[in-house]
Amino acid sequence: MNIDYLIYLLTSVAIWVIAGVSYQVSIGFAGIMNLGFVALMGIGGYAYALLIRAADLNPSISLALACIAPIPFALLLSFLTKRVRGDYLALMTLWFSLVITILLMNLESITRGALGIPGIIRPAAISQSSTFAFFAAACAALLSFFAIKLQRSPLGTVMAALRDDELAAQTFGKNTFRVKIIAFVLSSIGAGFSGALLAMFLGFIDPVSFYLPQLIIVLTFVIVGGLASVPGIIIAATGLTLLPELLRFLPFPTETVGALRAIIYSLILLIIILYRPKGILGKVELE
Amino acid sequence: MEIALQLLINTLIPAALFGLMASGFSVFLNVAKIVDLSQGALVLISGYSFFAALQHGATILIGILLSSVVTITVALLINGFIYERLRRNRKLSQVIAMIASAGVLLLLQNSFLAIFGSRTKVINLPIKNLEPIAFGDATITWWQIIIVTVSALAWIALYSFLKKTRVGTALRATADNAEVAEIVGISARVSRRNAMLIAATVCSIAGILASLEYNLDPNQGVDIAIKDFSRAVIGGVGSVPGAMLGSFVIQTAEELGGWFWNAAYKQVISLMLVFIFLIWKPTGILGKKKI
Repeated sequence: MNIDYLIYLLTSVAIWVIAGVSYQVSIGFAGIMNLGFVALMGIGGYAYALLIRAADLNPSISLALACIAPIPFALLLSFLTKRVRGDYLALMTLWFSLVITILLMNLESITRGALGIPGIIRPAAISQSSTFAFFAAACAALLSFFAIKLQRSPLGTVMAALRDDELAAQTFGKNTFRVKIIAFVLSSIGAGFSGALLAMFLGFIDPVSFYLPQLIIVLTFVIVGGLASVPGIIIAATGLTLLPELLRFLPFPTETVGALRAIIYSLILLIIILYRPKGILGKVELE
Repeated sequence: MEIALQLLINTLIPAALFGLMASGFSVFLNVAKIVDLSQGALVLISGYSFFAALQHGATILIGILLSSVVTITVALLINGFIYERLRRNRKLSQVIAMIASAGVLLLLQNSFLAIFGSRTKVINLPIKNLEPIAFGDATITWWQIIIVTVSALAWIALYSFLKKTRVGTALRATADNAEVAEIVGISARVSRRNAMLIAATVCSIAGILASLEYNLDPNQGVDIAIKDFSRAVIGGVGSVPGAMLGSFVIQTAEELGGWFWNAAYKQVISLMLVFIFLIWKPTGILGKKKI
């Protein structure tokens, strides 16, 4: 076990905690069945990589823009799904996700298609892998702190009301649509940020980095950790990111390791859905 | 003229094959109210077990029998252990069922990847080596003729089964209103199992047809699930003729778009088309109800 590997693990856990907590804001706090989360991550990641590569922007500015990039899409999705809830919203956001992947795949002149974007650099201050790890960990800690603050704030209470009973929340005179938009946009900012961090971390992204399998991974985090629970998602994201690392020590070819990782996630997802739908620390059941 | 003919052939084959798959998908969606994405993997199960059987020296007939037994068994296990369990003691959440089905899809797809590897598997049957039939520059292979014929026959059998038989009528009753159907003695549970049986049979037929035409690759599972859903939604939710119609609409749009615009944008066109339908006409062309 060398120090580089530990730094690698810390970074990877921190990034997935950031993604998981951000996802929790829309799917957990406000109960928006948003299956487009990884596509929003992808938009962030691609925005970061392309702004540096094509527009020759400073990496720090490009990181800031990557957080903003998914917002228009989140707004668009909120307006398109204004009158639908639950199942239908899930389908439309899932479809949005597929459309984004296919566009990334086929707009070859901009995104290089299936070839992906290699050689993604980091801002100078966090270019070392150790400083990058601490930066990511600090962001994860800060984000979790603010997420818990948000959940306990009046706004967070309205979000919970909206999740549990939208009609009742409206009856009490709450503008549920506005709250939904706020939750969606906040979540998308986190998505863009974590997508950009992932791009920096891997140094390479392609359209398939943000596809159905990744969606299942973040969904597994939320479902295992428990809906609307910030400590739950931190535990789940940490545990589930580390668990497949054990496969590295077994004598399998790389290709099989990737497949086994996905098999583990989907098995855990199915087991939790069937036997403990509230997750480890969740108070509400996913509907 | 020959280009038009070739475009027609290129449209007809996938439209018929994926239309058949989408019809089976639509039957289960309508009866069980579950967007069952795992059917993308069922098609692959059929193809891969056919491939494995032939590899081990089985004859074609035994290969077909074996692959349908495997496919149907897995499908019934998924239905019994996952979907029925999700209904136990509570109302089914469609989103959870869909997420579970996506989990099954990835589980199976990655199992193929782990067992068979990521390299494309090609099944070679003598029929694939026959000289294609040419109409000027337009060509169609004998295997493609078989695909269209078998798909059409299977689809007609499915349609008349639903319309003419007692079991089919029971399925339609459960699809329309499961509670009322229960009152007149039609068990919704049995109907759902029968619907899965039908969907799995369709998947096993279509899986063998597809495995010879498009070869076998573990990543096809997600693509097929997306195709199933697109076609079932555009044509009309819960309608078997709708699923076939949707398949022709999508395939025509893809082929025309690919020809006049850019072949790379085929999938963009169909996904966008479905997105537009989801927003403005969620009932589809023929359907009366939403998903």
